[in-house]
Amino acid sequence: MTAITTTALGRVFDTRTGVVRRKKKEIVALREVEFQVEQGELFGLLGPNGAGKTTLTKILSTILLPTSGRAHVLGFDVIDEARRLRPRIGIVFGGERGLYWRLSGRDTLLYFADLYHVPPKVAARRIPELLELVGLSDREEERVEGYSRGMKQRLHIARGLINDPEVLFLDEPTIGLDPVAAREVRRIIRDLSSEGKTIFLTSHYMYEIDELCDRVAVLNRGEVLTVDTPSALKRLVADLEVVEIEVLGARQPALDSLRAHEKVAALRVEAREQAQVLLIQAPGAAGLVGEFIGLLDGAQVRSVITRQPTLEDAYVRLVGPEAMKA
Amino acid sequence: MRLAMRTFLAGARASLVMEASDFALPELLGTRLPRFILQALFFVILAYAAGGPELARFALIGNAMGNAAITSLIMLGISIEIEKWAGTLPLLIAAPANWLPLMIGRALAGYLEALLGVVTTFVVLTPFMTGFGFAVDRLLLAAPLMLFSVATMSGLGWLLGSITLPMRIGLLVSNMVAYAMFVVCGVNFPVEALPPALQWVGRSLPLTHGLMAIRAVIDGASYLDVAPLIGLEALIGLVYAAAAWLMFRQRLRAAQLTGNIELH
Amino acid sequence: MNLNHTLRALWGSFREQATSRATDNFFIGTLFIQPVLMTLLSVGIYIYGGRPDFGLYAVIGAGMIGIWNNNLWTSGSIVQDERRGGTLELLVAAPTSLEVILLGKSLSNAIASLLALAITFATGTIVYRLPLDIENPWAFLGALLLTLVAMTMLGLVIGSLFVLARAAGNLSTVLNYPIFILSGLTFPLTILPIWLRPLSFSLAPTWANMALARSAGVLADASIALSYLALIGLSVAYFVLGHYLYRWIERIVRQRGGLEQW
Repeated sequence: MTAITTTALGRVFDTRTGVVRRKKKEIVALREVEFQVEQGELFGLLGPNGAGKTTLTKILSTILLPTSGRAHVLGFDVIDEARRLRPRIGIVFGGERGLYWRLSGRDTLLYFADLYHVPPKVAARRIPELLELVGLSDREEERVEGYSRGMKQRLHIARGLINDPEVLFLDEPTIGLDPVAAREVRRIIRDLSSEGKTIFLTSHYMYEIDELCDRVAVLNRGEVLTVDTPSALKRLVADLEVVEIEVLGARQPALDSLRAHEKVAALRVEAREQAQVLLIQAPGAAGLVGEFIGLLDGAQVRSVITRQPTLEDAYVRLVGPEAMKA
Repeated sequence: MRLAMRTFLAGARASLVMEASDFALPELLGTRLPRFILQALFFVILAYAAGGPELARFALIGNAMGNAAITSLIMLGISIEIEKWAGTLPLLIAAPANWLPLMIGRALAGYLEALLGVVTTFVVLTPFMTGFGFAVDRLLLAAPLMLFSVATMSGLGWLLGSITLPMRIGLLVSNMVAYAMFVVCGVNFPVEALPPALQWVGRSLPLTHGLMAIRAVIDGASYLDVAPLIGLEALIGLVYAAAAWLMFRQRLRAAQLTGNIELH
Repeated sequence: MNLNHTLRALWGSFREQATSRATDNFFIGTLFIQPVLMTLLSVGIYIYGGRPDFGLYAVIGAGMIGIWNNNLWTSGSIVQDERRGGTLELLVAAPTSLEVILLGKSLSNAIASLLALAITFATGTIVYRLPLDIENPWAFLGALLLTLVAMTMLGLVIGSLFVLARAAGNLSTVLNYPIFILSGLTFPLTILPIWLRPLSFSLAPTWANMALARSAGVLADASIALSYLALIGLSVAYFVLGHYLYRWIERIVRQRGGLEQW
């Protein structure tokens, strides 16, 4: 059975700019979005900042109304049947907002248990379990304002699980976390998935999606480019190799001629301190390193690495190098 | 001395620029000034109910001045709070200039606003005081005393700001003290009507003696008659200013020692 | 909608509000200190003016001022605080309706605000040694209860209004004293020009103050029954208004995905 279905889902925002002469401007956040998520699946939504990930999550979790198309979660229409759907889903947004700073971790869960109509007996059993799951048992009486970012994020997850939801929406749950805290959050997500929950996870971290998700949708500028398994996505670039050249002072004409090279499928330039890193995707790239360096017109090369393509490379190929700058 | 003058001007400019900014000016005209007048009106009516027109007149002078004094006190509290939020206090420590003239300059916008409040309160509410109005020449004669009383409040405002500098409740404390001064400084009824303990509190605060002098001058006394009151007001103002100066210096030193930029 | 669920959600939001408020310095300041000062001032003026018999009336009026201020500060921001903290969206997504959550918060604030009256009575007794006897305790209790209901409903209205019209928040600090004046808090309404009476009668504090004062034994010519009725009528009106305002907010949040533009 499918847990989430969307049909031609769209969302347009009206924004006004200017103080004196107010101009109305329409921003298309989502355009004709269609995909399905099966029950028990860990489904990833990947896209650069501003791609529409949060908008989509908000629509599916009944917080925001779409301007066109339809979406069903657990068979309920998110527009007309929101009231019946809400008790059965959970939502977690990344970041520090969305918590009452003066409440303790335990009181936060008690509060939302009441708002989600969780019977007191069930709540009394579930709250210690959830605190245990997210590793906050020993800090449960402390006020949230004293929590670290990682602890706040884990409390967010516990809060999203207070009603034992069948579908859990996680919007950038590891954003702003240090690597250790992020790994802990990923561990929790994996545990929840193995319990059979349907999880809808958005992220702009490739390895996170690669590591966790059964299937992934790639979203760019409000459009779904593809839906597939991470390994299938990587197969998109299986014929390619990637060369990373760290270089000082490569000029634009040199980069242009590199990009124009007949074998180069994609070229992305990242800044690393004062150096530039050129990420070149090309079939048999390892054998072409000499040619590439020749094209750089005497710029100082500091290191060269050849490697197999990752999900990130597949993603670059899909959304184009420009989108990565966002 | 020239350097002191320049830092004073810098502080004054900063306070006036903030006062005239897009944010502060509409708030002054739309919120603070109307509130100033309406609050006075409330107490004038209360005084009228309690003691007729004469007590109402007493309350009008008291509230106009009381509000002005408190504006000066709170504005200083706000400017210290702003320095704290903006994280500019360490810059004060590091600046070569003496910060005393700077702080005096910072108080200037408060004085202007206070004076504006006094004038508008009298202009708006005096027509209601039928039969017990004010002679304009006496009011004008008392004007320098009003400015003087507003200025003597700065020391107290600065002291409160310095004491609460490391805490998060600075503005709350200034507001509460300001409110309490309406009770004990003879604003709505004479200090003598208070329980004895509160009378002592009132007499040890700025505003109390200045207000007495203002009332006397409006009612026909000469400056010579009220000289002792003026002297007491000046003395009390200076004592608080000195305490504030010591406290503020202490706070800056403590911040320097601990390297705690935010000071809280 | 299940009554048991609703009551539980009401209790949950009541608790959250109480916990958050209990640690708020500004609330503690307005709740405890302001009523003391207002009592010292208003009773002091009457004693100096030779009318100590008005002491009880002034104590009740100062208490009403405290109750009004507390509700304005706390309930005025019930929606605003959720918006700022990023929890408003989570409340919209919860199965409990926003109205129930806000009602719980407003009720919590209204109950806490009644403490102001206890504080003004204590101040009057301790500092000015006023004999503060309540003539008709049951009627006084009834008046308190209706005041509580009216303030809860009013909280719902101002909480929504303050977030929809930012200017309303600013306006309220200007309109505070006119409302004290029009409601005859600490001085009798008869002192005001007669043409202001319709305005006075449209304000809940007028009737709350009247009901409390009359049942305490002052204001011999006021009617307890009439003030009860007026409080009930105004509560219903506020509730209906609050209901529509909250619906409006919930719709805006869902249409725009938040109240960020507000």
